[in-house]
Amino acid sequence: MKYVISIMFCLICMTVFAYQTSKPETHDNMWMKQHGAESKADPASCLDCHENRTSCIKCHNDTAPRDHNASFKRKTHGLKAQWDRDKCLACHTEASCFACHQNSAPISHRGDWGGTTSTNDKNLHCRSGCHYPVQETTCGTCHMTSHGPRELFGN
Amino acid sequence: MRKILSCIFMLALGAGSVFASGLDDADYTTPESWQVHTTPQGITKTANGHKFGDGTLNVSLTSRYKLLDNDYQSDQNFYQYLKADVTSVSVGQGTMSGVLFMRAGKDIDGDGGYKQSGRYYFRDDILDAEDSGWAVRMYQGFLKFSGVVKNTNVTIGNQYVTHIDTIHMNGIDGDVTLLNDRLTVYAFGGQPDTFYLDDSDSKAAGTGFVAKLTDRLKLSSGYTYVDMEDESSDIYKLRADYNYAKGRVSGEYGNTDGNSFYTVDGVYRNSPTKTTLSISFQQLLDEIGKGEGTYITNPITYSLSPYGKYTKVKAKVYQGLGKHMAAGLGAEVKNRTGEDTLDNRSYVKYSGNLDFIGLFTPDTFLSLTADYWNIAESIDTEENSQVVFGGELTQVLSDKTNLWLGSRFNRFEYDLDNGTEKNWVREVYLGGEHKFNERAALSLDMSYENSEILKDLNTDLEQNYSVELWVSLAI
Repeated sequence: MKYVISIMFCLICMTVFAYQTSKPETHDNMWMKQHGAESKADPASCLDCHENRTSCIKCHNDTAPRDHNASFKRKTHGLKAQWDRDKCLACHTEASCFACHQNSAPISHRGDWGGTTSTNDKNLHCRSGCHYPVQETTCGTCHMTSHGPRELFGN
Repeated sequence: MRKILSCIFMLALGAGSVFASGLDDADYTTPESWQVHTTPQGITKTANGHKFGDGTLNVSLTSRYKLLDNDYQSDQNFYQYLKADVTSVSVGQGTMSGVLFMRAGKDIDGDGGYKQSGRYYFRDDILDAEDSGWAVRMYQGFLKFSGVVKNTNVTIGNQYVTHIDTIHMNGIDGDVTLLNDRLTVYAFGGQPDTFYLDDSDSKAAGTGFVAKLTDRLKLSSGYTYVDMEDESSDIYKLRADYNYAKGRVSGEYGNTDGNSFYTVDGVYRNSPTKTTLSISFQQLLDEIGKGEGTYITNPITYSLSPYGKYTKVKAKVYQGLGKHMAAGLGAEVKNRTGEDTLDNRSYVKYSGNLDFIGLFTPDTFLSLTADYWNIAESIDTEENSQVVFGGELTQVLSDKTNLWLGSRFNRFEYDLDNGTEKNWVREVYLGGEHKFNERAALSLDMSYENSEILKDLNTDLEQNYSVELWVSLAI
């Protein structure tokens, strides 16, 4: 009996849950990766439905993508930025990189990290090895030169 | 065994019913809410505004609660959105329209300032950097006058000026159309609006044109000047777009501060064979050195952050396979000219997806995806790679209710300063949206992340949760 009920439930679903999307035929599953180039070619046609660019702003300026999770924030965003920075530029300018990198020192820069002018005997910074050129290390994410942190940081 | 046979029977019956009574023509269009698989946002469009002159005033409020939580830290934020627009109201011989879209966000844990003393501060966000009160973002707030002066459009206020480049600014943008709509000339100027920097002394201005040379061929060009935090940029672009019956071909040349790049891309769509093909070729012609300055280029330009010469080729084909299935295959190759460095890497990337449309019910959309990314070694690091596979499912229950479910498994292999590491990140998310009527809607999204990447902070730290609740009301 329960199988009959299950089958009836499936049939009801198939007939009742019928709703057709009003999106154009071009908006298939490939569109998510293609819409950026299309919007540059013909921005006016997007505005026929996406009034006032609100939907552009919602995804590109307001709410972060789903894959920007805790792991992304902790580490993988740096990897992605090394591998393909063009993709970041769909939403970000350099300004948003600096919004965090000027506020938040890495976890390693705590306690006995020391620094270039520190007299702390442990001075982990000095024991972390020399890193030249600095651009070829993760230090280069914030420090343009080996002993000259970016002017913006003021430190 | 009986249960298995019953399941098979039900599946066969379901599939058979759909295939028999399915869509008249193949239609691979994704559901309305499909973008939630990329970005879990829920500002739902609510309709039916109030009469305003001979136009309409639409006002909606959306409240959003966001919770991020793990065993060691949680962070809660509240956002309030206001969206209002006035559709065309007659003014003289033309019309006026207006848009207001803004949000105010607050860290409701009441703990302003990044928790630099804590090991788990990655759970915080930009709101935690605000010292106090509400962080307000104005996304748009402008009035647009169309045809009030014949053949002109003038937009005044906070706006995304979108011509050949896009720039968010407070200012004025105007265009005039000439030669029977064949030529549009525009100019804009104002103060760039960035949410992250002190932009009080910044400036932006530009001019350009769009010429419709034929019904299919469009030529556009523009110049933009941006000055931000004592960094100024001059951006020139020239672009041609050619549309034909089955697609489009575009080419764009740009130069920012003397550095040149170009892109050629095209799309071919053939409905009878259910085939879509896209190809893109991109090249950065100059080496952009990482000097002593704060920024590589101007901090708010959307271009040229990559600073090594490269060539990039992308190709993707999406092929329908009957009425209820489609498959996509893509490849992307970036070839760095010269020696690969930490931030300038050559890579090859392959992607694939298999989509099932209308399986089980006419309004079920299932996509299975897989990506592989191999990044070349650099001077001091080994090869990196990422493998992703997952699935995305949307079930449209009615014109009022949508449900979604998805999962992704990521495997990262990377080499930073401490040798090669291999880590998994697993994600599962579940959500739904319901429109109670034309004035009220609710959206809920929950996600779970299991990650090895956080174990360098604490060996017990691998599970993270997030919940977002959105409520939209039209006034």
